[in-house]
Amino acid sequence: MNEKQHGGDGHWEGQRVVSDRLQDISTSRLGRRAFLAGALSVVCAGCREFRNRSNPELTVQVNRLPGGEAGDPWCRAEQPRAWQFPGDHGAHPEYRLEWWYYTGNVWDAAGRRFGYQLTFFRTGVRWQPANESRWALRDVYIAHLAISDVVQRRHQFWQRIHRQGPGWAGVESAGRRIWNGDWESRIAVDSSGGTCHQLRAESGALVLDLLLTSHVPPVLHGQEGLSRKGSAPGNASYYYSFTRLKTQGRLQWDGQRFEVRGDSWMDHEFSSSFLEPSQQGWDWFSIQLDNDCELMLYQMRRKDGSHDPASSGTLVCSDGSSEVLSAEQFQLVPHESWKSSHTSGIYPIAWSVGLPQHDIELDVRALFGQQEMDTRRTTGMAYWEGAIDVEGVWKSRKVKGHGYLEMTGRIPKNEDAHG
Amino acid sequence: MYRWAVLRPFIVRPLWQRPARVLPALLGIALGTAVIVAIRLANTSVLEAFVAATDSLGGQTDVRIYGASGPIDERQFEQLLWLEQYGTVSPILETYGMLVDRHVEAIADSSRPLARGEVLMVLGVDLLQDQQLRQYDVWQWAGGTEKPELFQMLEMLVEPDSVVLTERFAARHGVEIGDRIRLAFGSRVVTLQVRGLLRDTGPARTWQGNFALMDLATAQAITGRMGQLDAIDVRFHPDRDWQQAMNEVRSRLPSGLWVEPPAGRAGRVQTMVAAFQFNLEALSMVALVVGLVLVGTTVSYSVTSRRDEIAVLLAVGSSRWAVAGLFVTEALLVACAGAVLGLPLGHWLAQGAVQATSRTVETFYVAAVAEATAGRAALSASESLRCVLLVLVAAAAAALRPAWQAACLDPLQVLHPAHYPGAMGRPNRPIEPLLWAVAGGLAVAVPPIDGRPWGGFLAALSFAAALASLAPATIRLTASVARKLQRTAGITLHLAAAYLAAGGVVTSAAVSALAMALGMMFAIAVMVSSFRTTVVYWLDSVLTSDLVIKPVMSSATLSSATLDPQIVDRVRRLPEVRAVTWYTSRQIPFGPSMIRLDTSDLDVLLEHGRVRFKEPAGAALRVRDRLRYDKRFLLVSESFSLRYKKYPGDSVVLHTPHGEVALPVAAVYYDYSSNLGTLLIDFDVYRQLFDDDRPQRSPMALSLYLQENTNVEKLSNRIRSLVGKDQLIYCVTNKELRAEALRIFDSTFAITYALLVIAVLVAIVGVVAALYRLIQLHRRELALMSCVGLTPWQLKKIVLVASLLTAMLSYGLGWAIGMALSIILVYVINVQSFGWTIQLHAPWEFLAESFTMVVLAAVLCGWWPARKAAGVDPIAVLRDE
Repeated sequence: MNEKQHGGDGHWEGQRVVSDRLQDISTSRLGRRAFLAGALSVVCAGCREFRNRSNPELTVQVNRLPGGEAGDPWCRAEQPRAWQFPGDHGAHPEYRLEWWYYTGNVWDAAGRRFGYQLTFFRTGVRWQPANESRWALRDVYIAHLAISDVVQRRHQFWQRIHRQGPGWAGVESAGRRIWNGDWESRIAVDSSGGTCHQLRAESGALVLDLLLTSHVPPVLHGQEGLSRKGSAPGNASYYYSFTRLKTQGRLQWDGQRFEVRGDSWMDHEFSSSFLEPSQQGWDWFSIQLDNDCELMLYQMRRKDGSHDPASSGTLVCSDGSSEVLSAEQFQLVPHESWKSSHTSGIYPIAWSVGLPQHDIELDVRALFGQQEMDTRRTTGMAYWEGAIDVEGVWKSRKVKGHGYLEMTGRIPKNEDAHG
Repeated sequence: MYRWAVLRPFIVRPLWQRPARVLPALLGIALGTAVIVAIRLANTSVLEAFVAATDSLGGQTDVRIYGASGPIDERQFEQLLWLEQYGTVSPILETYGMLVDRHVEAIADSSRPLARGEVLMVLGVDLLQDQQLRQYDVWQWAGGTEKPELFQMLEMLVEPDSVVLTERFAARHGVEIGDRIRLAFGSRVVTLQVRGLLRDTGPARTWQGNFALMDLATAQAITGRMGQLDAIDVRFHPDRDWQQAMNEVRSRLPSGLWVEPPAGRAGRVQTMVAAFQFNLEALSMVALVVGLVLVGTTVSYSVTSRRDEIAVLLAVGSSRWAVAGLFVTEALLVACAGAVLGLPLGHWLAQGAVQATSRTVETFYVAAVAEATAGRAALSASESLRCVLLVLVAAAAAALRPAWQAACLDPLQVLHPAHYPGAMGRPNRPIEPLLWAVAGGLAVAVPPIDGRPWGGFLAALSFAAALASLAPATIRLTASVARKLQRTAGITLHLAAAYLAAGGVVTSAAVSALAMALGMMFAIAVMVSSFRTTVVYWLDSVLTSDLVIKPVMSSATLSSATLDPQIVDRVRRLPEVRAVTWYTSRQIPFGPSMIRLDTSDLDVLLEHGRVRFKEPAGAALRVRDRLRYDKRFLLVSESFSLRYKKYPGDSVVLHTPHGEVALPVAAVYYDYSSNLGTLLIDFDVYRQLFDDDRPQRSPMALSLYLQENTNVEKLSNRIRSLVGKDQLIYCVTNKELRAEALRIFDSTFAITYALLVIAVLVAIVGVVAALYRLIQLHRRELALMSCVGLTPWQLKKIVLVASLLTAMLSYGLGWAIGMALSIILVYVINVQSFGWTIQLHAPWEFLAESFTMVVLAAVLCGWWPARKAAGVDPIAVLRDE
């Protein structure tokens, strides 16, 4: 499943239906990778609809755990949970959707810069596998890999979708290994109590081999990690991030080898909730500044052009403390845009980020325009995810930084139909 | 100079005015062409079905990875994740299931083995990957009228008992969404729910719609093959160079796994059946050969009866080439008309031929070429043209000699009134049979080319021609003997013999034709009888058990139908069972073809005398001894030994998950159940090499040795009731198994017999025609005899006796031809094609019966000419003089 920028064979007409539904997504308050949650939830919605239509008694027969709706076995995020690390780095199969999301900016010794993304998704399809075969379907595992070369302004991505099978994809306990084919992340606690993530991925011309370390515990978003998505109870996810992971390792692309260092960001989120269908998409920012502070912001855009009050963010200070930001506390203003010749999507690649109450003003600029991911084959969606540069003022001090920007729902309706 | 102007009045008009003269030849050619066409259709349609299936199943697959010696252990899959760098990877399970309906159940109940149910090709896939290799176009499903999305289709497949069939199959059986169908996999019968139907495109076209799609997990569970995969299909990324990618994949694959393009398998099957098909096509030529001889006869007669006109043509300036050309044209015209008649006749015969051939191919080679799937095949225009051209060229060749004889006539001699018709034409040179015999001797030494016994068939033809060319000498000898015996045997015999001898080339041609046809018939009969006797002897010696249990779905070699482990356990524990032998067989690639790899508990097998050894001497004891201290050796079947030139002491390399392993050949044994070539190894060794104990837990057959005085039938019934409704086995005694094996054998050769009967019929028609011509030729003599005082009855007697003599001479010559041919068939062709040595055994009863039949036929066929002879008006004939 090795796709270049314009990949996706789209021979399933169903892709169109999936994308249409994704256009109708709405959330009130959403975890960071809501579009994927949207895509995956549509998958699950489709599955559930089919199951209900064809075999109504099946849903009644399955086990029900606390938190599940009548007839639906999957647990829902309703109350804050007691987090336990490293155990919670592993999978939570009682929840339907889950992902481990790595992005980062790295430089080689000569200062050449790259941005990368490696994401592992898990979607529960059947609560109970149909039989004891190792191939019996329970979860579907999707993975995305992308690389941006800033100097050559070049971007390439790959996508995979697998069932667990006899070791094709999966998650070991405590995240000791999260893998999809030969792409993997291994999470371990080192002797000093810090967490390290060993990432390895190889696809065609790209080889990624990075070690990410953090000596501070992960940041819990929302209310102790319970991140609400909507007004209905249970419409929420559990969500935490490692907001600054010191990164070093090796990157090989098109025969050239680079020893690199930099910063990465990791998200881990799980939920079973589905999204409310009145949203157009969202924009999400992860920012790492040279004052040792980090900022995570997302804004949900409605179809009518307004911003959903579910938009939210987290401010992480240099002392490690974090503060939840509500929609009224920040403004995101787009400026210059870039148009995709592949999907006709229009993506703002320059932004002004303002947090007036905190005396923060930042200018965000994507390193180059073409960082679109056409992953319609695995998720039914195309989106933009790329490396950014940040510059501005933080409490009257000049600051600089970098990070990642993600934008969804910016493709015209008829274009999104094309697989 | 060949004058077109001469052709019309000289050749065409007489043909048009009196077509009856060429009727036998026309018929012969027509039948010969029909048979060739029918066999050609049968051969291509069977293979085409298989090749088409491989194509439609292959989809966009670039290469297929499979186990070199069996299924892939899915635990190896984790070491293959790097394959994704090359493209999309789709693991599959490919198996066959038999549709179980009331009909099949009834047959199974009556314990007749090989209930012939409809077979489906079942593919178990992970749709997430496979949908990028194969196009599944869902036509109907439970979820509504719109086509399902990928995940909806996935959900449809992963339900525990879900199967997706094709619209063609559904139409044939009236199946709808939500219906339940029962399929047998090996002995296990499962009930599946139809959740979708595929449109007739892509894989759904396989075996004309006999295709079923399942989730890989479901397929593993219902076939009892947890932990196994049959293949891993890979579709390379578009930017990958195919050859380079395949080479890289091949070098990186762990031992025991091979890679090749999907068409590779079809190529192997083609190689497997090549010898069988070649033989069938060669046999189909027999009918044509007889037809060609008749063409030659017709032209000879034409030349003989029109020698005056030929002499005139030559006298007025026609060149010899022109004259020869005229008669060759006559032959061509007749052959053309015959071929044109034969083509549609062949298509009509094809249906039967296709069925018979596909049944044989299915039995010995390829599973699931079920009768329903041997579809309507038709020869393409170019193929038809090629057939016709072949016939025309052969006809021209057959007509060459008489045509040249015509051209070499001396007009002066011919036009001289004293010229006697019978003396015309050079007698056969005595050197001719010798030349043919030498050619035959040389041809016999030619080894098979591509597994096809060309040399053998050419030798057979040469020897047949050598003997047939003895006909004139034989006739002359008979005539002189009859003349010498006239005092004791009476004048009728002498006159009849003289009558024949005077017929010259007409008689000898007719005798040759019938002798050839009879000879071929005898040869085939001897070969089949030899074969059958050998097989019966072999069966009797190896079928030593009292009861045999097999899954109902176990007809063919490509089907890996096995018994459910539960059955095996239960049966072993029955108190009446004294001992049990079992075996499992698996088809693996070897060189350009496939062979079988069999395993069993060798010691027990040999203890019960289940193997008959060919070499070395005393192998039975030596092998058992060897088992005690070193089991690492192979026993090879005779076919394998002859084809791959492996004898005791040589070694054979097996590709195992642990690497290549060379095992020595300890002995060669006889095996007439398949010509593929078999390797037999002890199960302990098999288990070590392949980490697989399935063959023992789930064998293909169990042979039971019972305690004394056990009521076999009662035990049979008990076993059947033990296994329950969800297992379909057959439980048969030795006798029934033997009868079944012979039934298959006989039905396999049914087509051969059919061909021969046709050939003989054609030849008989030729004899009748010859007798008529003789009457024409000898009008004058008959009229004279009538004048001299012979009664009509005496004239009839002469013709009848002549007819009888013809028959007996043909029979005698045919017998000689038959013996020569059968020796070549048995000792050369069979060995080269199939690797079987069989003991020559002449079916004396058949030969005796056929003698009676030939004599009767001769008398009957001679009756009409005899009447005609008696009715000759002497005054009218003599006045013409």
